[in-house]
Amino acid sequence: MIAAPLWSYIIKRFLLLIPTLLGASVIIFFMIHMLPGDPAQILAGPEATLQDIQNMRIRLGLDKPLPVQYFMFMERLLTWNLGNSLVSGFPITSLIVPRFINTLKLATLSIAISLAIGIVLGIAAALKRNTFIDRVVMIFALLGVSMPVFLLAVLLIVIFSIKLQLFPATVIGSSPSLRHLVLPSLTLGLIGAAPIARMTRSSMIEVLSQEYIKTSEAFGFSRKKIIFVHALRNALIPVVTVAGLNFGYLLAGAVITETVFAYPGLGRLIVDSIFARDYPVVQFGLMMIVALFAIVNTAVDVLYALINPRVRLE
Amino acid sequence: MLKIEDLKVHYRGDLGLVKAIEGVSLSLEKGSSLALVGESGSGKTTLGHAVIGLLPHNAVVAGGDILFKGKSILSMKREELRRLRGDRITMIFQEPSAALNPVFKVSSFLRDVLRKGRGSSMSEKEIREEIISLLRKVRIPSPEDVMEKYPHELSGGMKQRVLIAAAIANNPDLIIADEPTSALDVSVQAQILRLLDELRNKMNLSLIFITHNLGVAAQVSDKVAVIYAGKIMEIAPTPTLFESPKHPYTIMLLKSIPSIRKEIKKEGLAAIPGSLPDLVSPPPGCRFHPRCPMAMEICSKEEPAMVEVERDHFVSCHLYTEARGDRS
Ligand SMILES: Nc1ncnc2c1ncn2[C@@H]1O[C@H](COP(=O)(O)OP(=O)(O)O)[C@@H](O)[C@H]1O
Ligand code: SF4
Ligand SMILES: [Mg+2]
Repeated sequence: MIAAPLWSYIIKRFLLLIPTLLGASVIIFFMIHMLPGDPAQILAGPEATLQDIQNMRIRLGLDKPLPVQYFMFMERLLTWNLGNSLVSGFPITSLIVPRFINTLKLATLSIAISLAIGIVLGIAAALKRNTFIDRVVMIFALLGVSMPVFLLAVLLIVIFSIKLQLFPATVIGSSPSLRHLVLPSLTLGLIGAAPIARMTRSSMIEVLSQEYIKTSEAFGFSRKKIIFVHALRNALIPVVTVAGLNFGYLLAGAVITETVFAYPGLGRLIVDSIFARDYPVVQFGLMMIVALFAIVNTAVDVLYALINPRVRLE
Repeated sequence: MLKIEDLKVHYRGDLGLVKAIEGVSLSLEKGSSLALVGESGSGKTTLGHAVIGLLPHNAVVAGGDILFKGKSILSMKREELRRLRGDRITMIFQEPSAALNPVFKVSSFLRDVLRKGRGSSMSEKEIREEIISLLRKVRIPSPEDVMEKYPHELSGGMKQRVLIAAAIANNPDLIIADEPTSALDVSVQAQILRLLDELRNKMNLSLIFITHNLGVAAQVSDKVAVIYAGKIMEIAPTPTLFESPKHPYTIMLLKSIPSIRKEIKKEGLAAIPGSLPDLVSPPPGCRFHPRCPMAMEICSKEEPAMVEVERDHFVSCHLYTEARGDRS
């Protein structure tokens, strides 16, 4: 049951995505054009004459004024007619979409892992405050926050792939199986679990000291019900926000993780394309990432309003 | 029905043991109401929490016992006590705004309370009807709307009514109301007091009404116990206490009520000079002697015993003990 003002809030939030994404498209477009290096010159090759380079420019549409180029870019984006890669010549759609799906899989699994581990550890630490368990969790959280992604990735590869030989370290081919997902998503999930554990712990400790928890006790509810229903529902409110922020770091971390594990995700495709000066692929790839990030953040805002009735839905 | 015998409750603190309750004895019959009156910090809440088995972790029961229907609450197992709470004994708190869980609707709170007391045998429809009838009992207008609201959408008085509805939901024997009106507007206070009194009579409940205001106590109680620094100073039937108060502290409390007929002031007790003693090392003898205008030599040396000055009227003061002859 969702109340009417909540529906209009949800619709408004999603409509707000339009200007956000438009703004993002402008920034991405001009950012790419400010990068040093002339793609036409690079693509035409070292032997090219000035005329060759000029022809290449015309072929790429780089001779037109920037605003015109921007509208061409938007037209291709909106009609989902992305054109071909400058380097490989393949249709960009066929390059980006499977990679995007792979990154989405990795991100979803990582978030799920970080939520599961973070919330469980956070609750345990809050309930066992100032005990051995609490200290272990806090040390884990500190490690998670300060540990570089690549270091953890390498560590996991050494332990689970080389020593224990449980999971493969790298992906061969373009469609990774669940087994291939384990180590990369564990890398990102463990690192993402740290801030979630910390937030769950502090928020749970605060909620447990509230008067309404005393009310629950005075009415004789079971400890289980008090902790996992009455307290947790409140304690998770700030955790949702942290998880949403985490998602941004996670996408950034995905680039490194994908590289270390040779995982065929969108992050790696973008990095590879930057080095190859394959600008259309970079542009559309970034657009997809930004869109994903914006949609997830909107979803987090909506979720926040759903679990926190005190949010003012203006 | 409830019997408290020589109860002592201390808190472990950084500066030592806080002797919050030091030898309190009280009794309460079925359907009657006791007002527990004293300044802030005198141990009222501690006593209430002890009765419902909700003392914080740093509290130590240093002696005495609490008997509910003949059974010792203090030696009950956790599970047994948990079943008693919310069912036979319930509590209403001072800050209705803080006491209601902000993420649950009125209906889900009351549903939880009903399910806890009556098991899962009730159907959703019966529960809904029961919730509406409860909200009617506490005089909430349009209960069908109110039950779908979240606490922050209700006024303080409404929230307190919801908490009262929860407190009476499972037909308890005893309700402990800890300053239930102190946080409310004056006009709402009177309504809530009337409601509590009405429910008590209708449902034959026993009530422990905790307040720092004697004027409030007068409206809801059969019997008043005046507590000071963890000790009972005077207990009497309410009319007696107001007509012939004996203890110097009670007399000062009565004088500090602005005017009984007038509005109930929030800071009714501010007029008494001095402040509560340090409960880590309380004054020897009568705990009130540093502030007592009638204090005698013996008062700082010997603790006064509880004396029955007339039928059902008990006072703990050397003015009424054998030692009165030593007055200097
Ligand atoms: N959890 C606690 N730990 C230590 N001291 C406490 C605690 N709760 C109350 N006290 C102390 O016990 C005394 C009685 O407090 P309380 O029962 O809350 O009084 P009242 O309800 O009459 O205001 C006060 O001195 C208070 O500071
Ligand atoms: S015992 Fe003494 S100090 Fe205490 S109240 Fe009576 S007269 Fe005052
Ligand atoms: Mg109190």
